[in-house]
Amino acid sequence: MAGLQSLNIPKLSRRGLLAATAVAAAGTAKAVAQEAAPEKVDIASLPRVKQVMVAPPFLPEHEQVAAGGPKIVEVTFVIEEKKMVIDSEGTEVWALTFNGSVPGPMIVVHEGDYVELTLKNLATNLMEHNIDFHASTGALGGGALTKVLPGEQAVLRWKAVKPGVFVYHCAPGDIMIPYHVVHGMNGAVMVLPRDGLKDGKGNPLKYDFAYYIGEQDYYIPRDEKGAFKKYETAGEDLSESLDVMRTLTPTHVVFNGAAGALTGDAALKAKVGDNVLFIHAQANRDSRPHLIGGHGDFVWDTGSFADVPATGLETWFIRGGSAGAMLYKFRQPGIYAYVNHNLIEAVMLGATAHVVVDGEWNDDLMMQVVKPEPIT
Amino acid sequence: MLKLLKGVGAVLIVTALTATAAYAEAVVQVTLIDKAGTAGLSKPMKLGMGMKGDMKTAKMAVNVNPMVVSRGTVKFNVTNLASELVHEVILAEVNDENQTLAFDETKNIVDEESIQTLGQVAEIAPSKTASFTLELKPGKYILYCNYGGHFMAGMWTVMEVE
Repeated sequence: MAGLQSLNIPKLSRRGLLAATAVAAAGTAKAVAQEAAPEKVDIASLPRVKQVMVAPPFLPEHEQVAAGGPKIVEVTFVIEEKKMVIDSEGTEVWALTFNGSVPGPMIVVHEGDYVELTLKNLATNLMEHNIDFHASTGALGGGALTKVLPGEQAVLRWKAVKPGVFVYHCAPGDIMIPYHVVHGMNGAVMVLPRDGLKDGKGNPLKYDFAYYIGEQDYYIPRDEKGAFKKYETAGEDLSESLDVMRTLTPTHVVFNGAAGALTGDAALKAKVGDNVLFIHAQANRDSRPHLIGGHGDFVWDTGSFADVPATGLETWFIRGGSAGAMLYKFRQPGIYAYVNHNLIEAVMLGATAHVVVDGEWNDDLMMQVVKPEPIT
Repeated sequence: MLKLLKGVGAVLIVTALTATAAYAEAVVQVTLIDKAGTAGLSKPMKLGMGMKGDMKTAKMAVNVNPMVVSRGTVKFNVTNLASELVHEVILAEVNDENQTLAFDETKNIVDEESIQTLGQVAEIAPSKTASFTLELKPGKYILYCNYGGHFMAGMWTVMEVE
């Protein structure tokens, strides 16, 4: 009854969406390079720098205003399929990760720079992976040129032509695209304008530091008693996960990979007077960030730094499959909650971070005139 | 029920995965691993059962969980984690994992006439799931893919029914 090798029809030939993958993949690396470089940039003459990736919510070391001309920024992502605990009840997911974290690390470059990514798929992994950069141009965001089986690596170079914050994610094909994305395989890139951020009136906007909030929706299967199921290996949950995903109802919506990952001892920190840039990425699902007790002073909610930022917002909108940025100067000490202001998701599903701010209280902005007391 | 089935061998029922059994049965998750993609497997890689090959070098594998179940009704939920290739899974009784199977070198496949197939899923597309249910008596069982070269590439495992 066994079929022969000839029966092993590559999946690509049978799927509409992936027919495009096949066409894109047919282009050689050389052809792609020519297409991406109509200005005849001498790539070999560009300076190269290695950017050391750091785990979220932090950003790699970077300059806000570019020093010098375009450069090639070399980064390495190691794909790791790993079991992670995603809430205080011990619920598990076999996460598919870039560099072992959910979300994957942030890359920061300037407009006109090149990102040169080495993508390694550990031999101990079980699945093929790739990467689609929304900030890039061509070949399904690089997805068609980066398919790596366990034990393989590929190198992709792309030019950062659009300033802004952008999502990246794994997109190996068909139902594996949403499956990988809702198992944590996504992250963000920030492409700063060469002269830094502006307020839309030509004035520079500087931040003292930045935090990167990756929001993740998980769809964890339950057993017949309603308890979240656990699995022995990555991928074992595939069909049961797809059943939950089909409901479009996540079991968890979390920041930085797990409920509570940015609260308590892991809360974000700032001081009164700090200008803090918050980058919010959601690769799959709409979100509506809100800083309880503060505002968005300057908000690029579409993520494009080519656009004038909105000002003084209470809540802003992150479209599923995109990232946005918000700059805020903290004016009061205390604990702020940074939430997805669908409050069911914030409080019941996990989408809450805390920012602990030190400094002097400003009575002018707020004061408790009368403490709670019996009604007179 | 087991006695009724003796001599018949086994009953194969392919069901939709979403169907949930109303009675107690063992459920075994079977995951088909393929790290080779479309790379050539024309040369037997000597990683078949009983060949004492270094399975750490295997580019293809069958994972089962749990590896030991109780006698009776066993449902196998099979997921093909491969990105490119269609696979299959065949279940047959064996003595133990040291047994070598009759092999057709020309076709690079196990000679299926040499062991009795008790159940199988003949074709599973990449990223797809299928299931089959069997009545199994105590013993050891191999689950393997017999597409050309896959068994020798390591795409098999042995599980136990107590």
